Amino acid sequence: MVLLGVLGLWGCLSEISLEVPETNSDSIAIRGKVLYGDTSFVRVEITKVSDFTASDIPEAIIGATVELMNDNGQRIQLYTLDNGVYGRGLPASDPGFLLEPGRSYRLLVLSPNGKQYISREEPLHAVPQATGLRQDTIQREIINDANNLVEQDYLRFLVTTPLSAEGNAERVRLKWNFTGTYRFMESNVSSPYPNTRTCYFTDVLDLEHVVVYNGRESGQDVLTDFFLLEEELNYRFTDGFYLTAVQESLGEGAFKYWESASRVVNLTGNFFEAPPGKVRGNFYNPEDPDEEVFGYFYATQQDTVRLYVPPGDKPVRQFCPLEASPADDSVSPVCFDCQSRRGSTLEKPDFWVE
Amino acid sequence: MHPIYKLMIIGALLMSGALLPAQSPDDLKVTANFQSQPLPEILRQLQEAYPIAFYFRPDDLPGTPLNATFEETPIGTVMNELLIPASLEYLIYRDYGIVIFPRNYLGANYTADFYQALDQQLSGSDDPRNRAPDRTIGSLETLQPTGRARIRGQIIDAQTDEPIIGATVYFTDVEMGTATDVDGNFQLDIPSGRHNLSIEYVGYQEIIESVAVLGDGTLNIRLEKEAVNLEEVLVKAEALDVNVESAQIGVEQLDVKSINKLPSFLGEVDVVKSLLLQPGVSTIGEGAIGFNVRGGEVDQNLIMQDDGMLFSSSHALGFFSSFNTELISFVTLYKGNLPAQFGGRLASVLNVEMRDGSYRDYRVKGGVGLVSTKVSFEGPVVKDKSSFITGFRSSYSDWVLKLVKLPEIRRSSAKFYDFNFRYTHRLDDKNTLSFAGYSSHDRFTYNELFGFDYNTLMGQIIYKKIFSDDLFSKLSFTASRYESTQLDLDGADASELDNNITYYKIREQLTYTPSRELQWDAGISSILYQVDPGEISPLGNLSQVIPGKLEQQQGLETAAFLNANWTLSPAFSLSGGLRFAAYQFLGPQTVFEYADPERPTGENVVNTTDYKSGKIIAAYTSLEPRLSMRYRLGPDMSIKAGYSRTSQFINLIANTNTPTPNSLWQLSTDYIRPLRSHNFSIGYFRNFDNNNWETSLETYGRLIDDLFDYRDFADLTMNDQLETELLPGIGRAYGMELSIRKREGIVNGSLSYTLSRTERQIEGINEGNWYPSNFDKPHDMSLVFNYQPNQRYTLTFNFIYGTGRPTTAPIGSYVEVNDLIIPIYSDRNQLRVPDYHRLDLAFTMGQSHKVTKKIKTSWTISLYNLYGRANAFSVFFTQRPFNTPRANKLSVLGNVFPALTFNFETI
Repeated sequence: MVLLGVLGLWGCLSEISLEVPETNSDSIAIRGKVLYGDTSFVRVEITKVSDFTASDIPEAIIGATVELMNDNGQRIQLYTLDNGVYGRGLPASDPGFLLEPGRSYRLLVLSPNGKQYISREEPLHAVPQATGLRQDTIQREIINDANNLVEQDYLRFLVTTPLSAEGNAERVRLKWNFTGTYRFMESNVSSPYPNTRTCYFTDVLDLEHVVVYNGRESGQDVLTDFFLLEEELNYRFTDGFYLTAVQESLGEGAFKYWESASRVVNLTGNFFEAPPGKVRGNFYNPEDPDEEVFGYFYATQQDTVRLYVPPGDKPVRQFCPLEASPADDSVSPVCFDCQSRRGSTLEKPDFWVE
Repeated sequence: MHPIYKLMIIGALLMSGALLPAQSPDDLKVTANFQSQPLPEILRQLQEAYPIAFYFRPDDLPGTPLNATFEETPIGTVMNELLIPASLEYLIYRDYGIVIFPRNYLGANYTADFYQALDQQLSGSDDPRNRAPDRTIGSLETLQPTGRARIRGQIIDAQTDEPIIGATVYFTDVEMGTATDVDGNFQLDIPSGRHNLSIEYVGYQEIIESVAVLGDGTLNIRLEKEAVNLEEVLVKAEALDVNVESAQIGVEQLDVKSINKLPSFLGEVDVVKSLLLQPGVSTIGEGAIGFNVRGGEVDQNLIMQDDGMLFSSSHALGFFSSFNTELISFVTLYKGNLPAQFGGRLASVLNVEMRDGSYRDYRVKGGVGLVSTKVSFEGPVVKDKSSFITGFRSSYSDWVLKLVKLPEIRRSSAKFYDFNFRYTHRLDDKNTLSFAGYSSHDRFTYNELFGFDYNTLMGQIIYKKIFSDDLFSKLSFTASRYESTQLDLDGADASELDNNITYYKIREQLTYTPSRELQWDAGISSILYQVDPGEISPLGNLSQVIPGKLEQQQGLETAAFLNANWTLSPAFSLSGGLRFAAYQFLGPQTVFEYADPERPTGENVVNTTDYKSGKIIAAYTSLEPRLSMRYRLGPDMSIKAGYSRTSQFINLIANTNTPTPNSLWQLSTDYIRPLRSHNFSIGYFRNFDNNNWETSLETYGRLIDDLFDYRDFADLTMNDQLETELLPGIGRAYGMELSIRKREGIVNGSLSYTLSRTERQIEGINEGNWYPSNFDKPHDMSLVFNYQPNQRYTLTFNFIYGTGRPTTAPIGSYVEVNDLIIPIYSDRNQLRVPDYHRLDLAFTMGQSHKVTKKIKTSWTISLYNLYGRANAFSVFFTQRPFNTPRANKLSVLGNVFPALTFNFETI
């Protein structure tokens, strides 16, 4: 019964034209994190918020004074790295600024127009070391571009990790970010590039999802085969693929922030979806507490795990034909100049081991 | 008046043929001299001397001698002089004579109508109406002083003994009538005398009789089903003025036959979808669970099946209602102005009364569609003594799902069934005992990823007792349990989340009708709720979910009510009463204490207190006046006004686009206060064309002084501090409802239009400003067009239009460090989804109902969403990295949905 469409879960979806109100463009967004690890650093980006429908780059806040402060009252000023981007490396074991798990940190921002913004304290928790990252293959039925029902292979990536850091009984909240690196072969042509090159592309994966897990609510000490993401088996896996998963520790506030963000970045409008709301950050203007300040600053420790997915037995159609002519409009220009793509390099990454 | 005097008058009338005077007694002048003669003798002499007759009971007259002299004295003066000293009174009745009574028997209670009534009954042989009547009702002994008679009776199906609801009982000569109620009963006050009676109901043979109404009496009629000539155009009936006459404002009554005519979704006729065609009733979209009445949320509707409350009224999420129309006797929706008999919800009462089975014949009725089937079976257990009726509906839609191309849908499943049973035993003429049971089950899974499983089980015992003609009682006991399970079938969150609500209810209502103008309803009810707000358990080896269970909650809601339906005059009547409700939230329970109890948050817990079983944790009372008044401006128009105070002690917790089957029912606690509302309404009702056209214009207002909304991203699952996710506030709703309805005729139908706003004000949302509720629809219109050229064919169109519901839109964004775009949302509900409109069609081909046939069949073809509009259920916004933002709409139904249903019924 068309209880299907019915269930309205995923009835019929279409784009519509709807006029949305404009934002108050004076609002400011501050986001950043202090990372504790082998190469500790702090990085902050400050911009004005954009109209939702605006396509231009948001206006960067240049000339702000940004300081990182720990719960010991020690402060350290950040440098300007780029327009609206502030940061600096943090040397380990610096008695002038203690950076270690168990402490809390906050950010102080003085904007060029004299407004002060302060983040609430964020605790730094030690991150557990992931013990395993694996993948399996599943098949799904999908409707392809030709509107035919076909079977498609997907790779599912699953992580196994303790929920508490070594030497620490307290379970932690976790967040993961992913990138995928794969080898990309240009098409064989004589002109304009005489030699076929191999690029390494690195893409941020699963951008429309925020993957978090609250270890505090878990009933187990180890998170086993926790589903991280699913990727379609396509040309990216032709000549090897590296998944890089960065596991971050989060405090309670940061967890709530990212959990809230996950609810508004991937809406589907279905029956059972909660209405969206404002993702509240942890900055405030002490002189004007009613001023809305967006973004979040948090402290984290990271653990990076990688998984190599070798070319499989199943043939996968390559993105570029082995031989092609640049005059052929049906072939992507990337097939003739792989370096033209964002995130590409001709150098094999250090972690790439076959 | 003592009956004997009535008889004396009657005697006077009967003898009038011999005593016809040449002049009226009023004009008579007497000249006479009486010395030491007793009064009887004086009267005898006067009767001999003048063209006048005296009627009296000898025992009433004194025997003492009197002296009196009259000279051309008017007869009135003569009577006064003779009778007053003896405490006697007299009346001159028309031209016929003088009736003498003791003074205490005669007075203002007897109106001219009384005598006129007698005159009409017993005199005037030239009147053609005086031929032998087809039927005589009452006797002269029971004629009331006003000259009117109260007629009570029942109209039933001659074959099944089933009461006929909504049959027209109409006295054409005096243009007075009424309609039968749920039990087929009616009551009517009319002038006594000869009348032409018409009794009609669609599908039954009309009865037209000459009736002599002598006094109060009964009129029980068995209507025969009609043998319809296919060539005959027979859609005619005298309409009634119930909408004008009734004192209650804001009432919608549906009869099952009307519901069955409407276009249906996938062939399943639906009570709730029929309600949505009434003014003031709306929904947020297709498939949404429940309905909204005059700005009330879906949980603010008290949904009754007989005396039992239903906590889920939907199948297949919200696509079908849980009521099997084959078993329904009648449906009444009270909007805002609830009689005192009802309470516990703010906005409305949907009262669905189920019917008894036939006491005489066995019958089977059903319908077979592409995705569902229903069947009902009824008949006597002991003929004329006890009956049963049972009904079963089931879907079998999965085979259709497998035909769908989308793999997600192919891996989905949706099934439901429901079952009703009712056994009624007439213990004797005055005592009836009924047992009723209801069970429903729904299971839905999507793409093997998640699903819902929910069940209702309800049992009722109803005992009706008639103490006297004026006093009867209804005692009921209900036990019910609603269970729901949410299944998450995949990943680390794979789990089964259960919640359920059980209640036990006892209710007693007494109805006392001391006079035709006044009816009292009084009663008490008590409901014990037991809510299990959540139990979660992991599913599968990979689930990371921690098993857990929240404490059971208990609440006791007790109410007493008194309501009067009072006709103060033919023009003015009212229905008013008082309801007192008391609610207690009971232990055992662990209660959190907060540093600021007015603003509880997870961070400001200062203590917890353990309450033992039965200990009162929180108590609330509510005194609720209810009043609805009608003033009749003329025979076919009236104005009405009403006010009611309502309160609600149990709420649905759902922060989703529409409540889900797994949404939690939450009792009022020490932090979650009961909802309370003032409800006002006023309306003008006007009928035309002998009541065939009904029009009304009602305005209403509601002030809700306690309600709540949810914090952004509220965490409502397995939360033992639910109060920390709710924000208290106030609400208001106001609107105007226009209704135009043509009841009968080859072409009939209705137009409903509602102009309304529903808003709330909550600290912490939209900076404390008023904002529209999720279901605020300023314009809501429905048009029903019904063409029935004969009994065999019916063609019905629906057209629905409504303003799009509010939604929250992003107004800005910023980019996180990993290119994730975080949208910034506006104040809540500041944008609207596109307007909704839809056209439906239904065509029913019925077989003529010939009495010689044993089975009646029909086919119904429905086209739902005829022009295939993809109405937006929701709008959401996406902004993928490196792409322009876009607005998307989700349409539940984007195409026309045809359905074919075969209906059958044994006769």
